Amino acid sequence: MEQVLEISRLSKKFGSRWVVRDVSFSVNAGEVFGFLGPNGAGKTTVIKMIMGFLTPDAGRIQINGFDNIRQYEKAMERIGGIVENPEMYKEFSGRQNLVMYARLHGKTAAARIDEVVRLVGMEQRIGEKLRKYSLGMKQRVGVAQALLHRPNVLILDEPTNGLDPAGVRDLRDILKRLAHEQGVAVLVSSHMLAEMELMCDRVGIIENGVLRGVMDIGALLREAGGEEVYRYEIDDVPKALALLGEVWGGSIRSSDNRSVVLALPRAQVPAVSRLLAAEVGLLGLAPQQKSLEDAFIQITGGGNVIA
Amino acid sequence: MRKIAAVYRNELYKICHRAVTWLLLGVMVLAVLGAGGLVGLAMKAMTSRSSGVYYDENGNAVDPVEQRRKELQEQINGQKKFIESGMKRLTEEYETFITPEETGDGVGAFALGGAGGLGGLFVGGPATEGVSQLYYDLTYNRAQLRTMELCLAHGIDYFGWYAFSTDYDFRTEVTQIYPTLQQMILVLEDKQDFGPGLDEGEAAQLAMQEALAKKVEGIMRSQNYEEWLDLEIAFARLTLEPEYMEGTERFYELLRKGNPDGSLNPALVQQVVTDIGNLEQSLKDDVDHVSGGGASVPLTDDQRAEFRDRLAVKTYRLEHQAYSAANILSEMMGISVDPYNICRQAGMAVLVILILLLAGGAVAQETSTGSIKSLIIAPVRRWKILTGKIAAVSTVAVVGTLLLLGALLAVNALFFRDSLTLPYVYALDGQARELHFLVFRALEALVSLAPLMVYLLFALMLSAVIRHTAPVVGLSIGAYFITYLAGEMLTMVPSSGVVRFLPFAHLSLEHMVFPFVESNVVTAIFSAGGSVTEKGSVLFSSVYLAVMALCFGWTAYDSFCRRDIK
Repeated sequence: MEQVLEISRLSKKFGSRWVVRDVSFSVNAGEVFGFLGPNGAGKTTVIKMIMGFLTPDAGRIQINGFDNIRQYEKAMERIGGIVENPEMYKEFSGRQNLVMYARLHGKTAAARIDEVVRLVGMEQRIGEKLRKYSLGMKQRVGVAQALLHRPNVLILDEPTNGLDPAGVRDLRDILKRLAHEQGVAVLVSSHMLAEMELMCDRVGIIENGVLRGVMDIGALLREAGGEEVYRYEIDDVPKALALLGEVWGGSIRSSDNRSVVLALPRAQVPAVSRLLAAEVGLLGLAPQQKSLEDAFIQITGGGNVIA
Repeated sequence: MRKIAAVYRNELYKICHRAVTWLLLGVMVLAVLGAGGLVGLAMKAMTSRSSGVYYDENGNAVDPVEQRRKELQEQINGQKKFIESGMKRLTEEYETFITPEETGDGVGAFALGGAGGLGGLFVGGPATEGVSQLYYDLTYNRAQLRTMELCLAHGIDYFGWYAFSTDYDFRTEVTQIYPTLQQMILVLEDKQDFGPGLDEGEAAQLAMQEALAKKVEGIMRSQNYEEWLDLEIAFARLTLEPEYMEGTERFYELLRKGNPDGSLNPALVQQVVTDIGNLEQSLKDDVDHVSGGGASVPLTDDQRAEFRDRLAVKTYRLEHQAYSAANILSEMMGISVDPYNICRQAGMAVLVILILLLAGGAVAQETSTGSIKSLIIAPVRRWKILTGKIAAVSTVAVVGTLLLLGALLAVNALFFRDSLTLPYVYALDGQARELHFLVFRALEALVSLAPLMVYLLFALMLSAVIRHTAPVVGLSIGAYFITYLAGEMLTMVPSSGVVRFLPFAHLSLEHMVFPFVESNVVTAIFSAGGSVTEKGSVLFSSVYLAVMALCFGWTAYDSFCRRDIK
């Protein structure tokens, strides 16, 4: 598959502290790549280096085969994105902002502007001044701006910030469609794991400036050991916990006064169910989706990271 | 280039969208109009006959001319009383020394205003030094009295009451020579009436003096300026030693050229003629008679060339009567009252502030609000972004300068047409030439763009380095005012030496490019003899400004293109 964004051995330090260290990964055409990490892990720093805000102290970035230092304009020609929050000119309307941005790309077709505005669902209020927009609306205009010049690499830093649930779903759909139907390479950063799970084909996990690993979602889920998670609703939880500890010895994920959550291979489910039904009164059984969060915690060693 | 043009269009669009742009351009025009109005009012107050407002004891306004007439009458009455008591005292003092018998004819002595013993002064009686001093003082007052009476009779002001008036009347010059003439006449008359009589020579002199006095009175009636000039020359012959006559005749020749019909203020023309005389004399003697200080070292080549140029310009202006009311005020008061220049400085200050605001905000405002992001993510190299921004603010500088030029021409055409339409007279190798006033003003505006660009790049540099709007704008406007004040102070010291290496000594380049602007000349003359036409100063200043611009610009580019945007 074509690698449109290639990052190799990228490093950056602020003062004497390395905030990004030896990060290498690549994003292929037609995939949504999740860039995952806790706050302060270096996600935005990497994105700012890709977008030309910061100069790397080491390493190189290639976009569509162009070096983003030496062939800056060519490299940036087909990249679109949002860095942190979309900041535009507050005293201008959304449309005026888009027109000015389009001009910098040498592309000012009004029809295309209408098209992206429709795509992000802003056609009603695009004529209003930006200072009247909510964060979510600015985010939508930011996405419209990022898409305006039909980039083949799209970089979105925390794009769901401030969006309502419907907005998040819409954005997800837009990104998936762009990637899977139009072959755009999408890089999305986030610290929201559930979102990544639904959106991305692959994720790279960064922590303390170091890339811990890159894997596709399916592999990531398997990484956790192929177990599945089930919620058993039972009458007498303490008794059930004691029993499970004594007889079964498997992993108890959590419990409350009505249920216990167990991670176990599918093959063991009938046996455990029979045991609980016989001894403590089984009221119900529900499979829990195995989440990326679990895998994430597992990879990063758990703890301090989740926002 | 296409990218720079796109950035340029966007930046211009943003600038046009900002209220402060239009607000300050409006304020600039208002500043020109306001300064023009103020200068106009001030000039009117200084030059108009009817400027003084007088009130009688009932608080009613009275006609100032009538009031002045009354005052002059009172002055005359006072003078008469003073002379009367003086004469009495003179007689008493004299008689304490000499008995009436000894004086010969005591009767005649009392004929003059009741004063006695006067004749004794002329027969060589032993008068003390005090007594003869008293007599001469009184003669001076009597001559003044006659002049006052003459003035009152012909409605001329006495002792330059309209010194600053543009409603000139060459006849006010009578107060300069008439008292001297009358004093000479009085002495001879007294000698003839009370003393031993006149000898042949003295009688001829008296006849000549009385004829001149009669002529003066005649001119007061006829108001014939030509005759007046002839009379002044005749008077000079009467009073000056022959060796001074050559210079005096040259003086009157120039005076006649500079004021052929007597319509210009004589004080102005005399000032200019004196300047010309000093320059001519300096070139002739090869010694600086202009700056004063009494140095008798030979002129340097540069000085000689400069004097020749200044002389050519002064003579040209004199011969073409290229003066305005404002010139007259400037010359007479020793300060620059050039309305165009005052308006220009007022407008320029506002324009500079606008440019500082726009250039200072160019990078800083975008980084403060974060809108710089939408520029950085575009496929445009940073130097092109900055170039587009500089081009946009420069466009405002050019448009602002043109607007300022338009406003200046309009306001000056409205209030100061006479000074506006004067051509710019300059000299090359001692040859005077003139530049049409429109061409001159346009060139001046063009030249003033250079310092404006330096300010622009200075603010841009601060903007790129500091990246926070408030300190950038504060610092650049503060720096502007400090350099402006420092520059003003620098006009008080000669422009050579260490001073010329100070950056703000070069920010009014237009003064150096057009050194023969009358107000600049006045400033220079009154600033320790500082020279405005110093050779190479324009080149030096231009290079200096260019170097400053390069330093500011380079720092701005370096900081904007290389530093991270966090």
